[in-house]
Amino acid sequence: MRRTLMLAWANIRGAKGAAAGLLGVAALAALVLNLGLMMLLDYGKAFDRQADRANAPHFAVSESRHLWTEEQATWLADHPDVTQVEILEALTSEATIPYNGAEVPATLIIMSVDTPHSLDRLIPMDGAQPLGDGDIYLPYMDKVGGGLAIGDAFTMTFGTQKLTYRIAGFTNEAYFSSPADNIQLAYLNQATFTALEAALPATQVTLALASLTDRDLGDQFTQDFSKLFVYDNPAVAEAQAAGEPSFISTYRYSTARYGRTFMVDILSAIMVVFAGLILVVALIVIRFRVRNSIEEQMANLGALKAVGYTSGQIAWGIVAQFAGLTLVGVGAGIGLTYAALPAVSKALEGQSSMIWTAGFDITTSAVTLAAVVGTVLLVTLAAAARLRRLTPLTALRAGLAVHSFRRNNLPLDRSHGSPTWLLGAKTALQAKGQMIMVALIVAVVSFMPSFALSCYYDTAVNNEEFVRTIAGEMPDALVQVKPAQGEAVLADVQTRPGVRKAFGYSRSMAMLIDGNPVWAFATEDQEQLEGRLLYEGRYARHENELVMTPVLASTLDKTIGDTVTLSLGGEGADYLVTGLIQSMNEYGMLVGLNTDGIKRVLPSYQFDEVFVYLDDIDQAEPFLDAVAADLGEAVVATLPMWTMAQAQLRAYGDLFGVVATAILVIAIVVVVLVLYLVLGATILRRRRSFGIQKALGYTSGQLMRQIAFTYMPVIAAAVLAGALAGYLAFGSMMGGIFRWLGIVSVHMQPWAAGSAVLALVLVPFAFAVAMLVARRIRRVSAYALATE
Amino acid sequence: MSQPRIQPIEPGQPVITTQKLSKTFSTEGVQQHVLRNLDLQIRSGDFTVIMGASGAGKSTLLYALSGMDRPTLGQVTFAGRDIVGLSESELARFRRRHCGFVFQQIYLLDNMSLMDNAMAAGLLLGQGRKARAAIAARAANLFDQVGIDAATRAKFPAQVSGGEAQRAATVRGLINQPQVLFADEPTGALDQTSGTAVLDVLTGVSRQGQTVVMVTHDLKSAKRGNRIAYLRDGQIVGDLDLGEYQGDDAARDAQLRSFLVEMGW
Repeated sequence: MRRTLMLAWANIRGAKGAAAGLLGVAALAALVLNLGLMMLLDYGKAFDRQADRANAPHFAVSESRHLWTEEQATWLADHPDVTQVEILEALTSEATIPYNGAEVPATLIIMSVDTPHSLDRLIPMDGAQPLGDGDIYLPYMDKVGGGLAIGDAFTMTFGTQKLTYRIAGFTNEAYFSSPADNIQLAYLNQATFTALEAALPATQVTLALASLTDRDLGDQFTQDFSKLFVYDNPAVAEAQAAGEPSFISTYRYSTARYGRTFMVDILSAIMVVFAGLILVVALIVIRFRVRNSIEEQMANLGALKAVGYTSGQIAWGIVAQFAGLTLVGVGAGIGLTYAALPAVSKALEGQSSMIWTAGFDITTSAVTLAAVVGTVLLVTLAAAARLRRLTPLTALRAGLAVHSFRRNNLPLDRSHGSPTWLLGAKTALQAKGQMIMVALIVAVVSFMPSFALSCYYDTAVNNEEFVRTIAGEMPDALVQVKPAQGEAVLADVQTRPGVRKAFGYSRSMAMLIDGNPVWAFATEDQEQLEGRLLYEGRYARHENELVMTPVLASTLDKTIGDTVTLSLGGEGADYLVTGLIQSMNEYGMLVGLNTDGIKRVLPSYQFDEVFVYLDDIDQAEPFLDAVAADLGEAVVATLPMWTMAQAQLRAYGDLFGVVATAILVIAIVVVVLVLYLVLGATILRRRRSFGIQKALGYTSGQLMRQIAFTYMPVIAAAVLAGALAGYLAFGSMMGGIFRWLGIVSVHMQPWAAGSAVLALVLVPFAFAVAMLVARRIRRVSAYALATE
Repeated sequence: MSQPRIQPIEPGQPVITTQKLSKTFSTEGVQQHVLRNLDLQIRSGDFTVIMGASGAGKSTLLYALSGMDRPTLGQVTFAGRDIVGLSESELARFRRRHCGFVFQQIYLLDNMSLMDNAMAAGLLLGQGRKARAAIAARAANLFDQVGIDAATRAKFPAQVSGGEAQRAATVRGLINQPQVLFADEPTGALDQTSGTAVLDVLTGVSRQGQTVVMVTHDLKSAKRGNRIAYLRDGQIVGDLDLGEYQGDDAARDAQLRSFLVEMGW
């Protein structure tokens, strides 16, 4: 064993630069893999830890106060799975709030800071000031994602009023703080709360919070509650029909968790995949280095065999050398993970509004160590196995057929071009295996940034398709109306100049479908919808037709042509499924009907929103201001939906920008490391050849160019192939990611200019790196060669 | 980048002159003075043989004369131009134009055919279509002269004998019509027959007027030269001109043996 280790150490000392390069690749693979795994495995748990600290509920319902019944309170209190219930008074409304430099829609729950509650405890963050009159506490997401600060004025539209408060602090809110659907819990002092409560009675709600014996029971519990009191509640339907406040919304633990962590889950999955690719690159390079090392040290190995070392001892010496380096590299990579965690956590906060402080995670470290070192061991052992075929005599004569030139490519007396170029090309043609290896690595590392750049472009720069995909049907402007006056408002809006199209719409009506909870949207004519909703079949045209999401179709085991029963408040009717629509809204439990269809179960139905599509989207705000001014009380609220959605979703773009940059940097580092290792090894192996050429009169510059030319055609082709593959695969890969999120048909386009620029930058960059690495040739002396 | 200007040299005139040439190697603080204030002239058209005991500095001298290595002190003048002060790149250009080499270890590029080995050197001085054709024709002519047929020229070094490889290396050394062909123990790694063939080639080109400088410790090889310079303790301690014994092999042989005995060889 000692001899084996001595051999390994001697080998490492003999090639310090290459050892450092391998160490770097191993560290990089371990860093990305460990970080990805930690995010994947710990980020969700971090939410659980935060929720536990705040004693977050596992179920909540916010319901217009006049709808809240003693029966509901009793059901909650007596349920065997419930360990604690709190019934609180709060205000809730759809709102528009300032966020990240824009006005965005939010569901805002407001409580008095003096309302005692132990569930979902109020945890003010550092720097929070006492709440005075006109002050507000907001969740931390408004600081890290929304860019707001203590002392800022916070102007929002809440209910029908525009209100301005001074931000006095931020809370580490666990439950009602979801960047995904923008649900937020804010606090006012008692006096301010009471004044607002009196001014906006329609926003008064009962907020019931329940803690369960097991947080995993939250989904089933929410469904049971919803079936009894939400989806089939005639009081809700009657209130809706009468134009009375009919707010009712349930919040479950899994949704709160998902809203905070789903984007990080996507990112971590990408990182793990990317780490896998880096590992593959590392393994290819290590295999190359092992084989190269054996060829280089052939005579030494023969001498060792001649003096009695066994093949096993020598092989283990090589394995120990690479495994040892990898072990140190992985250790460094894991260490770096923890050094990078604060910065990574900070970058993720904008999306999750969660302060992630992960301690040392032995599981992910062990998995990372086992994955990287284990695969390196296997590859090294396999590559070193050829030593068994080597007899001492063959080795001493350096006779293991390492070079078996059979074909004289590009004979110099008949080929055209400079000798530098021709000699480079000859070498490339004689080292096909190595060229394939380099091509594979470079193609892989070009693919990832090409893909990531398109992600960034489509989410941050030109995010129209992304918004259409994520947000479903998105009008340019939305006018919330009192249902009784909806038709009048619609008629007025349709005649206004600049209006391309307008129609009545209702979102999120709770119902039951074949006994299962579902949310319904309705519009007069579904063919007027412009979002990327329908992907199979056709929209509902008749009163007995509906469209549904694939998630729901799968839950009900129904498809186009099947019949389902929709019921609301005891009224039920059968419908034919005519099409499948995609939506991330309402967790995919969504059906769409036309007005005649919805009236079969809700005869008193009147739409409560007018969707407006304008000739010029930039005119949305002045248009809405005019509508609000002209139509007065008939209008409940106005929202420039398209601009708001774009602004809200731009946060994802920012995150993808960080990811794309990180992937680009990693790709560049990998290109540098691979070129350093491969070219370094090549120079070492061919130093005799370069020495001879120097003696003949080749200058160092010519030899440097020759080395670079050897690899550049392959690198250029691989960069182009990788960038092109990233461009071409973007659609199908995004399709895969969105299918996972419930969106079946995605029309996001790859960013051709991004991929092209990447290729145009990477190729000369690789050439520059190759020339830089090849500078080592200057140290190869013709004289040293001649006197060797 | 300026090219060193080398003037054409008439036969018998000095082509290389060294003045107070010194070379010192330092190994772990210990200095070894291999060449000491060495003065030497190499005349154009001569077949100069440098002899001496092992470690006397023969190869070091050869590589200092050819611009392959830099002396620690002193001057090397190649046809009137001091080459010691040239940069690495200038020295490379100087070598490709004015020097040819034949090494003991042969040092052919093993991934190229024998013909390509010659062309790789030749193309350094001409790359156009016409120049390429001229270089290829010259290479073919030289291969014919050294007795390597067309089929053998297309083979890789590993596929031919040591003698054939060294003759191919000689063709490579001559392809650019150098002013001086430097040969460092050219028969050292060859059997007797192959060695003789290589020496025949060197003798042949010398008779055609090619200046040759050869390092050897082999008597049979040394006999091919017309001038013997003997190196001891870093200095030329004996210089024998065999030119006057042209055509009288016995007298040459006797004179050389007597010289070497005198030198303590």
